[in-house]
Amino acid sequence: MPSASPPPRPAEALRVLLDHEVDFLVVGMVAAVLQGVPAATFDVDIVHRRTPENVERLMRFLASVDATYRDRAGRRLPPDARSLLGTGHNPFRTSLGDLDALGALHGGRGYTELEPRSVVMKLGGVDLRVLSLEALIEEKERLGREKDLAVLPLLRRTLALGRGK
Amino acid sequence: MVSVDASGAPTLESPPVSDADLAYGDDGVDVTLIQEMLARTPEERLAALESFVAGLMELRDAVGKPAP
Repeated sequence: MPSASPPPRPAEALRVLLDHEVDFLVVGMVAAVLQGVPAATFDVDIVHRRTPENVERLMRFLASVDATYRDRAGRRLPPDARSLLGTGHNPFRTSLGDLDALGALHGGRGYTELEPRSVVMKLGGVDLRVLSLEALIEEKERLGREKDLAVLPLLRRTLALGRGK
Repeated sequence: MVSVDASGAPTLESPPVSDADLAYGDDGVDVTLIQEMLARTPEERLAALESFVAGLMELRDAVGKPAP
């Protein structure tokens, strides 16, 4: 059994990531919430830049929040830099809640490919890159899993209402 | 027209709101929740998420405990 997850603190997790000067963009449902979608989620998903320098900064961040891999067998596995350099998903349990560091989204699109599809928001006065709602909708349409399709009406309606402002 | 009582509050006899006034869109999405979220800053949206999730976890823990 994995250890119990601490209460998620996404704002603080993102602030600490920015403090560590990690290049990343927020994806997943926290990206949706940041753009006005009234949804609940229990983890933060990011896509990080997969350069050795950035992965080093990400490793320092992960150490600062006591990150271990979420493991079904309950093992306490420390973050692995080699894995963070790849395109796979790295699901972590941290002192600020669960955080998934993704090397790439569906189709192998990583930070470099996704950056043009992101918007910049301010968090504590610092720039935060967030995958745009349009791109998030396209991603969920591409994935086509039930859990992705279920939130599409909410995402589309928020996009439409936000555009009308 | 909405009937009001002496204090100006709508009375129970007020006619029902029209479909156009209801919270839900034809896709089943609660538009009022989106409007509220869009009126907030990104930081306020995250705070709302944290507060909501904390409430859910509190509820989960409370339900999991036997009554004293």
